[in-house]
Amino acid sequence: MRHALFAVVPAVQDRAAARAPEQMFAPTRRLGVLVYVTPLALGLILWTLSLQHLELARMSDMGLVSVLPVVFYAALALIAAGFLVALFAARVRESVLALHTAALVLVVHGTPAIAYGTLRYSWAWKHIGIVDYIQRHGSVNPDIGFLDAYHNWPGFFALAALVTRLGGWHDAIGIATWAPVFFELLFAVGVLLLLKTLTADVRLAWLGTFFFLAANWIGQDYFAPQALAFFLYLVVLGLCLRYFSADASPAPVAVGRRERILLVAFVILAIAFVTSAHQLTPFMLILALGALVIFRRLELRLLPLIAAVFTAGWVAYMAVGFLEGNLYWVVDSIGSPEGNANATLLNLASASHGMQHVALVDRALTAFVIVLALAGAVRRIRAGTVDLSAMLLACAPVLMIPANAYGSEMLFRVYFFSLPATAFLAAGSLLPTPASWRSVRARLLVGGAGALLLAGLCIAYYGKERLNYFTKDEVRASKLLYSTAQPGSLLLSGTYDYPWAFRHYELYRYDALSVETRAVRRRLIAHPVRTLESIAAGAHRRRAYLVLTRSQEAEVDMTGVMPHGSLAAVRRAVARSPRFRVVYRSPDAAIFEFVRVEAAG
Amino acid sequence: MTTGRTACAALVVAVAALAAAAVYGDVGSPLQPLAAFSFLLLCPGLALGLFLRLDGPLVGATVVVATSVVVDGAVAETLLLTRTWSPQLALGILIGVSVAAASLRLMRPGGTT
Repeated sequence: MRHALFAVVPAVQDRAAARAPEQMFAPTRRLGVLVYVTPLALGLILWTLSLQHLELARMSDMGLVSVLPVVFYAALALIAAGFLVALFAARVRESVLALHTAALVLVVHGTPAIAYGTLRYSWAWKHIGIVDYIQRHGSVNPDIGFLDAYHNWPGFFALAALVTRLGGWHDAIGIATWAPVFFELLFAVGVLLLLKTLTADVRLAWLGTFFFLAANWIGQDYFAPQALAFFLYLVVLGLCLRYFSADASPAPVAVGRRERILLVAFVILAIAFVTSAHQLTPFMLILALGALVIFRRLELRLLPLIAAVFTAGWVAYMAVGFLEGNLYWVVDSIGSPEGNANATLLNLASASHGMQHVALVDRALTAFVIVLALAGAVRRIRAGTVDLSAMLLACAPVLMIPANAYGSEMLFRVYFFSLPATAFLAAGSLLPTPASWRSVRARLLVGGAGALLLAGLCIAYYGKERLNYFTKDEVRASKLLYSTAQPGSLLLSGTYDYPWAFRHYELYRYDALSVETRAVRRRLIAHPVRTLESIAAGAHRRRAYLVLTRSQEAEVDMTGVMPHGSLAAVRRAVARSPRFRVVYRSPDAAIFEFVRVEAAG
Repeated sequence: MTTGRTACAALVVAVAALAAAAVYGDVGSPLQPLAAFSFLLLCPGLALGLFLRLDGPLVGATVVVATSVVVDGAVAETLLLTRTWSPQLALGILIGVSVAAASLRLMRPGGTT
């Protein structure tokens, strides 16, 4: 019987085959609790212990992996092994798989939140600033100029401001610190919904979800519109294919007329909200839904058109301010696939050795998943199943590469949006049929692939933590800056990699040495004080501050945007100069005030 | 009327009442974050989900959370763009929608499954 909201999925033919009784490993209920819960609990205990006494100051250019103890990896391995044991049990207990998945997310994505005690990612701090703006003004300003995209697509920030205020928090920093755990859990649910729609093989769906989590090294899970929009992207696609599939394989789940109307209403409302919350996701939705309609996989043929009308309408009427100010670079990157792709990739020649290793692991991990997915598509076809919907969802985002550079991030986003379907096909390479799990070889291969992916994830996801991490001292310095700097001041920094723009951000003007022209950067190294004064004078501000932090120095040294050690040299020169007054100085951060800006230059 | 449906409707009303007491009564932490977050994450979706008969806990849970997020976000964004921003008003609207939907579903004849 199907009943309200929480009911049991009707049995499907090959799902029954996938769950067929098996003599190899079928623990009784009581034994099952011991078999599954003991390693899980042990893993979580080990993880907790591994976070004690982490020496974050010793972090190298390889990121968090350079300071995490062996116990951490033992904990991760125990939880992953527990997941695979549960996956290959004769009777699949989805509650057990869900518990292990949640634990995996907590361990991987909760570790920075607990270990650092501060909010990581400089972008997340900027987003806190938009929430702060809404809390103070009760509105957004689409013509604001700086960070104007957020004011033109304010859906996520309106929601975040609502949660912050109703939760009784002064600012959104606490919420943002735990956002990666929250969003990765949502991703897991959304991906599982989508994959269970693509296949009736419950093991394949769970393995695909596991592969998604283990291959998602992009880091688009922080406090940002992208994370929320991606979850809704997954839900929209999952619901559309589940209830409105135009194909018999997999057949749509039959629901009543009222349910169909309400589901369509929800899907349209979700698309409308995504349109108002994020610039890129609506285009990804249009491509994915369009591909499904063109290949006759979706009954709702008008849906891509509705999404396109919403998107065009929003851009033309609500985000016209942004378009006017940014049209030149949007147009400039159209039809330039090579340029847009290359803009994403790190210049390995100038990067530090550690950063080079991390970048190579990023690329190897990505290539590994894609190769597995290609093999999966072929193996599934040879086994008699053509996963056309999955292939379409994996390929559709690629069409965005020639359309836009998206601030040098397009390749990453394309991988991100392709990953649910790619991970599904990758899992299909190891479990091509519902009976494949019985093979010892398949189990060993799944274990090996899972271990490789998790090892790659640790390096790729944690690899840039030396610059993503901010010490408490750096945060203290930034808070002091925003509480003392006079409105209208210029806030000059080495790079933008520090906690910035999180409090009354619109009252200041920002500049960073790393984005100056090559000639200016060269002059800066030769004559730091004179060049800094010239930059400050050029901003025409009554007051100017220079902020230099450990994280900025890490970014310069790791990416090679300026010569190694150049920011440290600037800091020493400024500290000696009488033209600067020290506002704050500590081992991790320094704030200097220009003594007389007007006289300079 | 199924026990599950009644329990869901009762849960919506209870969490809504708790959130209202915590926010409007300004009781402060730790109850306020818990009550407000639980309400925003679950109640609008749970209340509207009472009108749906879907196939399984995964779909049900996903629809509940996604609907809540979308409804919360739509209300918040509408108030923001119409320059009538008020978190208290947003909560009032969301409580109104949630409790009304839960009550309507409970009172609706033929609501059995």
